[in-house]
Amino acid sequence: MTPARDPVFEVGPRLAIGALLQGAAWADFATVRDAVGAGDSVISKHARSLEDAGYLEVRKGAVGRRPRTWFRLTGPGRSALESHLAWLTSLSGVLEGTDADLPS
Amino acid sequence: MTTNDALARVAEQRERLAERARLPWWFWVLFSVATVGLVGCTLIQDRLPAGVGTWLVVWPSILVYLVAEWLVRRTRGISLSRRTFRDYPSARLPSVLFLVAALVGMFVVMVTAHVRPDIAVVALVVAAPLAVGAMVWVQHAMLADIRTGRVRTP
Repeated sequence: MTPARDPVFEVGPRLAIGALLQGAAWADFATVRDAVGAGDSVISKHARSLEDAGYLEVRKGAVGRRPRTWFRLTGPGRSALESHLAWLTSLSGVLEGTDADLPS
Repeated sequence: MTTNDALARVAEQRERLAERARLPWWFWVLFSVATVGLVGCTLIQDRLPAGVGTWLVVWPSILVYLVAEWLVRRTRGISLSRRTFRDYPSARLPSVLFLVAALVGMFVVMVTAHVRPDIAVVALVVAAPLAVGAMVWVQHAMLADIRTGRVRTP
């Protein structure tokens, strides 16, 4: 996997949504909203952006009479997130090295 | 947001997912009941008319397990990959241990239940807790992989 910056994950809570979904097969809307700590409209908006980028699959269903929305990362979404995280980690390492070289 | 803030946020989300993925105590109670039922089913089947033991022990044990899993999926708000061996590298060894404990236990109980019930009871007492313990280990390994981002769901 090549570390690569992905601007899609740099807006709003998209990185947090991706990180949450990275370890799960599916997560429902309420779980994502509560974990990320954002409002319904914010999650909807950014989920739509991730879906438009082909990074998120959205499935709508119902549990009893309650409608429920489920999210999961697609294959390309997962790859893009992993590359972006690798880029962030390498950048963090470089910055730490730079800090260490700075005179105190 | 700085790089370190972004990475801290990622770690925070992984931790939250791991917290949510932790199985509740009642799941382990139901899972233990189902495991004891399945590993030790031959012991009871041999003492009941043909077919009755299957209806009294085997199917209820499978049902208990399915209900436990359904309840977890309904209350947790997330679903994890069922391909534990492939997707959670740290869970491979305990998964193998679980299978060995459960299958060897079932086999020994099945072979000895009729001729040496005392050995069958010992096999059940050893194998069932070992299998449940291995599954607890699987759970810890899965949570560790979630926290470190090692999950390999394609």
